[in-house]
Amino acid sequence: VEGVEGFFSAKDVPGHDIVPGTVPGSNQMGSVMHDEEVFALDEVKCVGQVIGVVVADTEQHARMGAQRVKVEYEDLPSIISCEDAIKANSYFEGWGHRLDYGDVEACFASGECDHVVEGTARIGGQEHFYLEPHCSIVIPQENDEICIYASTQAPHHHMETVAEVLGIPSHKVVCHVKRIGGGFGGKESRSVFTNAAIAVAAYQTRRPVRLALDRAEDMQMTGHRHAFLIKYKVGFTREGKILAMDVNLYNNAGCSLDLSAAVMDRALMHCENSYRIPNVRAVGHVCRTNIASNTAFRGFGGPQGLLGAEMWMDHVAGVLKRPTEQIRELNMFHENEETHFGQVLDACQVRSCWDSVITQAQVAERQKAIQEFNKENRWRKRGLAVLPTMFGISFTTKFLNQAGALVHIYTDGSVLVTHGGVEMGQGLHTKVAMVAAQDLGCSLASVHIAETATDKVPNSSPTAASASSDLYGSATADACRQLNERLAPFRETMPGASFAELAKAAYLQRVDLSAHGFYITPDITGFGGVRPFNYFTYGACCAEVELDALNGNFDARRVDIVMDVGASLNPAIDIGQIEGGFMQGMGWSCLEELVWGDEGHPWVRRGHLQTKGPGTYKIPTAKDIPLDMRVTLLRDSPNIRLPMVHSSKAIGEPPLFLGATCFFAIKNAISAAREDAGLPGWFPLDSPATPERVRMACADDLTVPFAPVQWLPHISC
Amino acid sequence: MATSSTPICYINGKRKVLPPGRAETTLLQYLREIGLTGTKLGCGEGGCGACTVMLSNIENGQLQHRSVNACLCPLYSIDGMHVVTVEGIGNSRDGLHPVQERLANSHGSQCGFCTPGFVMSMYSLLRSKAGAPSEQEIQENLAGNLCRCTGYRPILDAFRVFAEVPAGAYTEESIAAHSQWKAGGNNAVGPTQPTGCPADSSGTIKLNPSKAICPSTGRPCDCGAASQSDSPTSTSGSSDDMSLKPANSHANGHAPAQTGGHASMDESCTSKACGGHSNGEAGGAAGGKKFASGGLTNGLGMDVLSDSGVKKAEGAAAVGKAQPKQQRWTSATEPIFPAELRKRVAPILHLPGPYATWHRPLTLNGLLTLREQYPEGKIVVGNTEIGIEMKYGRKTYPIFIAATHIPELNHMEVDADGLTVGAAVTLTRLMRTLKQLVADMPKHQTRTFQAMGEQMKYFAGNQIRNTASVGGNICNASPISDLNPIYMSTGSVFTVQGEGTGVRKIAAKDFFVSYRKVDMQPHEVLLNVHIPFTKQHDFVREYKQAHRRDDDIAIANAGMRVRMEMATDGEWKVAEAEMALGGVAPKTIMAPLTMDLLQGRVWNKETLHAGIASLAQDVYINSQSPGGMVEFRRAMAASFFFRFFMHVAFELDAFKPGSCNLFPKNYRSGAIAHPHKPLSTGMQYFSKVPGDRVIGQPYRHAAAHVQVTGEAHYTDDIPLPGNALRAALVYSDRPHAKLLSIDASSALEVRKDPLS
Repeated sequence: VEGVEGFFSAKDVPGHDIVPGTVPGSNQMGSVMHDEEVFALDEVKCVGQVIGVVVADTEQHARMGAQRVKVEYEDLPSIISCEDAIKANSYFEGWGHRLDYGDVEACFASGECDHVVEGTARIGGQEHFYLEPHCSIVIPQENDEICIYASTQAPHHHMETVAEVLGIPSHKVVCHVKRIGGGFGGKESRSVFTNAAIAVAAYQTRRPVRLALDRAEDMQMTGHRHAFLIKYKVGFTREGKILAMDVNLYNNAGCSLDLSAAVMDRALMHCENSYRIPNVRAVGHVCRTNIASNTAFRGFGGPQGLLGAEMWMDHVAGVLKRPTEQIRELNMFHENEETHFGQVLDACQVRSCWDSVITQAQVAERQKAIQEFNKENRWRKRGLAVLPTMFGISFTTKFLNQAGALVHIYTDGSVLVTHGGVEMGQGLHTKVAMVAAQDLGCSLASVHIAETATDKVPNSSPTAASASSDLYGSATADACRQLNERLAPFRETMPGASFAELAKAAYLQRVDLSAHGFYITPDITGFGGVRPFNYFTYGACCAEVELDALNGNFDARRVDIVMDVGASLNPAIDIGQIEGGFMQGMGWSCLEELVWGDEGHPWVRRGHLQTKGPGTYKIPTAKDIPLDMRVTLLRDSPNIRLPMVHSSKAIGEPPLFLGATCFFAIKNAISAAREDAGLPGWFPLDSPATPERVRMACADDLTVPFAPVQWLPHISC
Repeated sequence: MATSSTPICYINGKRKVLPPGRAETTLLQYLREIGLTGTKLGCGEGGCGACTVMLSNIENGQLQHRSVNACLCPLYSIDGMHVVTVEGIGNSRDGLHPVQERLANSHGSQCGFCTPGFVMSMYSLLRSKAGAPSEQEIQENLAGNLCRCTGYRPILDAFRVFAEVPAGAYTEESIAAHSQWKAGGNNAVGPTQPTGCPADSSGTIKLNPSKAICPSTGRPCDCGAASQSDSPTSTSGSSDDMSLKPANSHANGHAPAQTGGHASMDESCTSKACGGHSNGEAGGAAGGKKFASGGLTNGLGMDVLSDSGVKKAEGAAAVGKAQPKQQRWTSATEPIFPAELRKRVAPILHLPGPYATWHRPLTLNGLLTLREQYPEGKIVVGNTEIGIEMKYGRKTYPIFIAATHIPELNHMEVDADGLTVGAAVTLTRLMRTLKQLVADMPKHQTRTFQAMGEQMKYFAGNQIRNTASVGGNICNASPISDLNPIYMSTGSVFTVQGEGTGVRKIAAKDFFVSYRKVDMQPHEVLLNVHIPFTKQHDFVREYKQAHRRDDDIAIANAGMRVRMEMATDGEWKVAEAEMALGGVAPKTIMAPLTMDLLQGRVWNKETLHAGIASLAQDVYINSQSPGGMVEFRRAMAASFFFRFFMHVAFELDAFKPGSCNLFPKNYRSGAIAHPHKPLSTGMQYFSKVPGDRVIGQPYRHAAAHVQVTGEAHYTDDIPLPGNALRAALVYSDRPHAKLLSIDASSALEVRKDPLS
């Protein structure tokens, strides 16, 4: 093809023929375990796995060239879903952890449980759908120096991987990130493999190489939020007190481990939501399948664990024939109670959020109005639900909870801050600049953050786990503290001087106006200890929906959210995270469905993703938002117990799960429709509650001829 | 007529000769190549709106402005047009456009990648309308733009100020009434009745002239800035000479009063030009008080509120730290339509290239000749289907024939029997015409148009409707086309013509032969579609069920029409019945068993049950069929029929009370497919911190001002060194397999021919 300059594959990785892992070069890579290849050598394990790369003068020519590369395969049996994996006993052995608390068996045997419910909850995956697809540029420079620009949440990981793959030391590789067009976890670990592939091409051609995935490639090959299959057995009293929970969680990890074990760990720790349960057994199974490796996505397993909890909670209330809100409230944590992983809750705000949202949303009055409405409308039904949430803040891998920042003051009084976190729209740079301005006592306008780069702040963790304003804000505060100490003599002798005058004076006295700050999260244990989390961010949400029972469409009529963010660093940004997170969670649980070529979708080519673009994969639009949305930051709740930056709390991930309040509001509305159809009582509903699932669950004379009442539409899980 | 091989256009006011040999190139690729990287590639299939730009051209002597997806727009289709991109309307150095500034200040840009698209959608809406749009129009206009960060509320808040709002919408009473309605209230049959919400019963509100609308909040206040806002005397929509007007009148037409109000705020926001509304701290308190009396307390007794992103943003502006100083926006930045293009006579285009050739005939004969010459050539208007085929089907088409400039194909005409629509008419134009006809003609004649107009709101996004053609939708013969069922069930007729074989008329219901095959010869083209008027007691409905309500393709849909007549015994009987169903077969099908069954029957419960049963016979879907969801599709066909049945019964009963009293009152709302939906609103409550603190203030995103102008650099916006290569991945198409061999020789071999 015209313009094509080369094709590179496994044999072109420097040192490919030497034992893997030894310098120079390696075709092996991975986030936690090096179980991935830059280029497939003799076996492919998923559709979309990189085999080679074509480079050309234009993207058009490169793509034409890539289409012309002929690959011959010999098919092997494939495993696509969690259920396939369970059947084939295909797991990442040793990576699925378990949590035991109290004695589940003894409790079930004791006869204290008046009821025991068992069931299976299926929760589909979710595509990140950051608006900017993966993109990277690799520029080889003199003496094997490599300059990378990448759309990633983890520049350090890019640097490290490219250095390993090419067999050069890390100090010769620099990864720069100015900003990324959304990440949501999708650019935490899954941006690196495409970058590594073009690094080989750049290294071999000695020319800069740029790669941008198109949307379909991005969706097929860069992984999603894990689909979960959850089997639960829950024992409770006739009053509704939960006594024992025995759950098995299966997540669809895909073809490599990536971050799937840590995702499962977080799911295990969130699978009781905000409820005190004396006896718990939670077992994680990390399923090895032949789809693209699934990865981090805002919440990182937390939302799936939380949703599983609320699914059995809904089942419990259904058996007791009582409003689920009552059962939730009855079991909700109090101050100083202990979670099933042994962490004692202090400054527990879940009940404050819950009580506030119930008052703010006038739940009692509206429940009455909803009952009236439902009586007067056979084919339109309203439903309301209230959910609490708590979300543990810290990387559960302990060593990741460290952060660096570099603060320079120039002689004109302008300040350049560089820290290890990536700006992906969440406003991290804005918040960190505010911390610097506040602590240095200069104006916000004089603080600038230009980029994130591995040569400015080394060894930084991925920008993830909601904790970046805690981590980098604190690291920046540490640097500012050092600078303030150095400036103090000048402040004393120059009262009323501007910041620029102070800086100039200090410079002339040969004072170092640059400081490196560092921070580690104190007193945490990582997963497996009794203090995996530094603290929890709490919240509660009330949602009311109106359902069209004849087609399964819904409108969120009103949503109230109360969120505990401590003393907000920037309420506009925090509210933006809450609203955006809520909508993403609503999309996850009510709208967005990934359709894979699996047993249940025989019309899709096996192992291929059917929903590879906005035409088939539907994220919420401006017309899907609540008609009335009220967000309140819980007042008077500074995070005082903890030395967090300016008493604030992390907010990126915690609100996402609250979007699932709409799922349960929809379910309640379906219940009303089923009662009219003569079908009272609890029924299962898989997530997401798409029009198909909702309409079929309404189970009336118009659906029953085509599917039995118990029938559940298939979900790729 | 002149034939040209040098297509020209203007981009942001600058003349460009388009490069040769690039018929397969999209406008987006070209824009990014020439350094206009503010326009983003988000999906390449017209589904996310990140590539939205505005196209302006002269159509029938009139200047038209419209938003389009640059990722689907063929480069050569912009010959003779003016392209305005996000860079063309404002920048951080010379000043932001009010649309950009609103979005930045309202926290409507987080990661910023979707932002230029939102800006250009809003901008295009303002320029394409003669007056200010309504809030409803603004919200509908944004369905083709996806944002994954904000949850949209702040974006809608940002743009709300550009709407023409009846002042009555924001009286204390109406706010209270609105909130009660939303809260459930007592009006149980709610969704169809916007009771107590004066804002919704448009036209009946007497505006209170003493209460002006504050440009910063969109609510009544007595700030001076508001004085311009009430009655914009706009001339801007269809004329382009905006830059010649003084800044103020320009701003009026363009963005009623907000420009003035806003600019003054940035310069002297703390000067209380807008009283309590513009100042974050005072505004918060004032807002809270007002809302408390309006019934919207949050139940927590918080003293500091912010009732909208608008207020928060300006709170931040008021504090005034770290917000880059914005220049006053002036009309000098507004790109005008170039005189050269106004005068230019469109040439015939014949633009050959290594991979594809672009033909643009100017006459029907020219089109027919090309059609005969190149039966494999693709006729394009908006390229919204072919562009996606090229992307997903990895298809390459060597010949494009643009049908955009054929007068006969752009013609619309009303005759005694109905409406004739040329095949190249865009969906937006058709919608506008239908709306006009529904307004002007007797109601019983326009039932089809009403049904179509209602449905087309849910047909793709605005950017697609602005370029996609009526004929393209028909000829693609998608089994889930949203319009084909209605043509088929309303007796519409398609006219086709071929060189040498003349004109043929084909009933719509006979036109679709099999999967994506229609009754047309390779040398024929579709000229127009004729949609008949309805008659007394005709009832027409189109139903669509998609995964997502807006901007989605159907899972199942249906066009249904009955003509009822009252028999001598006083019972309503079916005189004619036509039902077409989409999404249940490889093509849109009629439901012959049900149609036969209904013929002559009384509209009663027995007919309903028999109809549902027979429809189940009409709709058989193989469980392996593409798209799956067999049970759901069949249940939806039955549900559509049931809804239609109820609709007709309630209408008949309303026409003659008691004549068709089949269903209880609590079924009434079920007969309505699209109940009235109020606009989305939001409130945010947070605690105020002292003004001398930086921490805790609601500052906007530090890069908001460059994100809204497209100046913000993302990885793919970084200019590459001259010797840079572009990469494409070769990846597995098997879930699990041994790799036997990899052969790149054919990729490495230099050949110029297009792919087979």
